[in-house]
Amino acid sequence: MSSVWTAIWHRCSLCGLCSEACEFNALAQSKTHVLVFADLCHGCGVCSYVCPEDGAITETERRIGMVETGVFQDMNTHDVLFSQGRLDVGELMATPLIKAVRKTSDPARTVIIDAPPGTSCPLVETVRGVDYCLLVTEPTPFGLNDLELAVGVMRLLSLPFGVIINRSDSGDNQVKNYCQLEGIPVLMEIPFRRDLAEAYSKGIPFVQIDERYRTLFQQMVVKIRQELEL
Amino acid sequence: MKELTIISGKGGTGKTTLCAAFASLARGKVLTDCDVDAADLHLLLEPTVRHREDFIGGRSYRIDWDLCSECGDCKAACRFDAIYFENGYVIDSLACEQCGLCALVCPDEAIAIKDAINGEWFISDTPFGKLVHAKLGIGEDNSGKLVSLIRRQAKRIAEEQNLSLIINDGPPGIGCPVTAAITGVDSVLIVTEPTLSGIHDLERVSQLCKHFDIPVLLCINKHDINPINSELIRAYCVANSISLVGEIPFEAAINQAQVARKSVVDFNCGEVSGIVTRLWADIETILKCE
Repeated sequence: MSSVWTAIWHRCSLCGLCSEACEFNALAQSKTHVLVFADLCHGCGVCSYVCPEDGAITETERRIGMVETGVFQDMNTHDVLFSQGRLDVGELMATPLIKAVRKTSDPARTVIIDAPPGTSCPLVETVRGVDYCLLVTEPTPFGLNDLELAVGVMRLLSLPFGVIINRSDSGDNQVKNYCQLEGIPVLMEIPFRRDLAEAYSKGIPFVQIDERYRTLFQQMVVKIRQELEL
Repeated sequence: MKELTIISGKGGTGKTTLCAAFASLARGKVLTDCDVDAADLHLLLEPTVRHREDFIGGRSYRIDWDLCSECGDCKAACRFDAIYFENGYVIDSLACEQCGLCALVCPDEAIAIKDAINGEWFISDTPFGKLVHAKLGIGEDNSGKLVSLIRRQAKRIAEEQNLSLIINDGPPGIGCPVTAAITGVDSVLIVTEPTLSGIHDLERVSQLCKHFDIPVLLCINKHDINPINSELIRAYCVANSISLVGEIPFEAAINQAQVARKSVVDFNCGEVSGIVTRLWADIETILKCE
């Protein structure tokens, strides 16, 4: 997986237009050279557009991470396609990689995306254009604060969404009150259970520990599909 | 002056919980919340905002339809698919990377450029000292720049008030805001948990710290949830010269403390209160020795 950056060759006349035009400080001019800071480059192409010399700036591909794809079998031995992106350590920009990961998915299938935390560009890149978002929160002040921010993103992008309250018995009622007040559906509540937390720590999905949750998740998917008329 | 940043890679491991406890325990410091897209530290520190300022992280671009001749050059030039046609050409501000190429290629000079207000930052008083924090606008770019700004402000305050310590509550992940939160600090404290995802992310953030040559301290939270994984983390610390400075057991009262908006050392969290107090004493000693 790679993104695009621009390189400067010997045809450069050191006019300085490129380093001046670059909004990301990815180019800096010394007396003899134009230095390129590849990890700051967004690959926008402004430098090559403003460059008056012919062929002084060329673009090459640059690795920023890896897209990995594979297949595993679910509990009903159906094949599930899986892809993930791994940003190289020290790289700054996750969005081109997120774009590349999303491109690997088969639009004919149901695609489930595990989104990054926060509300900035990586999250927006992940949820843009999806049919539905599940916001997973917990009934604590941190949970409520971050849920409100996530709801802000959903509304900005006009995405339909619902909430799952995890560790639902471990805090207070404020998340529930907020959802009720805002007319946000609470699709599931999962009380804290040490055996579920221990299973998670070993990488075992908790639907394999407790059959009831399998049914609850299936019912939730049906409900979402009905809401979306899919 | 010493600067400590607390990070985790994975979210929800207890970064902010520990940071709030250290805020209560440490003397003579400035605090920052570098998790600018989902800041939570203020929820526990009761800040009174004393200074508030817009964060101008970049520029915003808007197409003026009165001047636009609909040639489509901007849409063709944009590498981020941020320009679409709907009754006229429109820039999708969420997809826009603010590079400015559209304005450069536009033959009609129809693209208006303004400073973009990407968020807000604050200097607040708390019962535990000054807190520098921020709120990035929803879906906004430039979180790394905002983190750098917050750290600069904290440094300025520490210098002015002759304070010897800055504690930064870091963002999750390993991307741009994390890099901005750890470069040049004296020490990073990684808070992890003995889950597969916790360990995976621990490896990623500790590699990032190694990349920038920053000394790493480590704390295992909820260590008793999976004793085998905790043992793997201890072995990882030994193999990678990371100082394991603390292990905190699972404790339901920690959430109760949060609901009461108290840190775990200002609320009865059983043995956890004492463990965290000793943890801070050890970190303080290590920071002073460095």
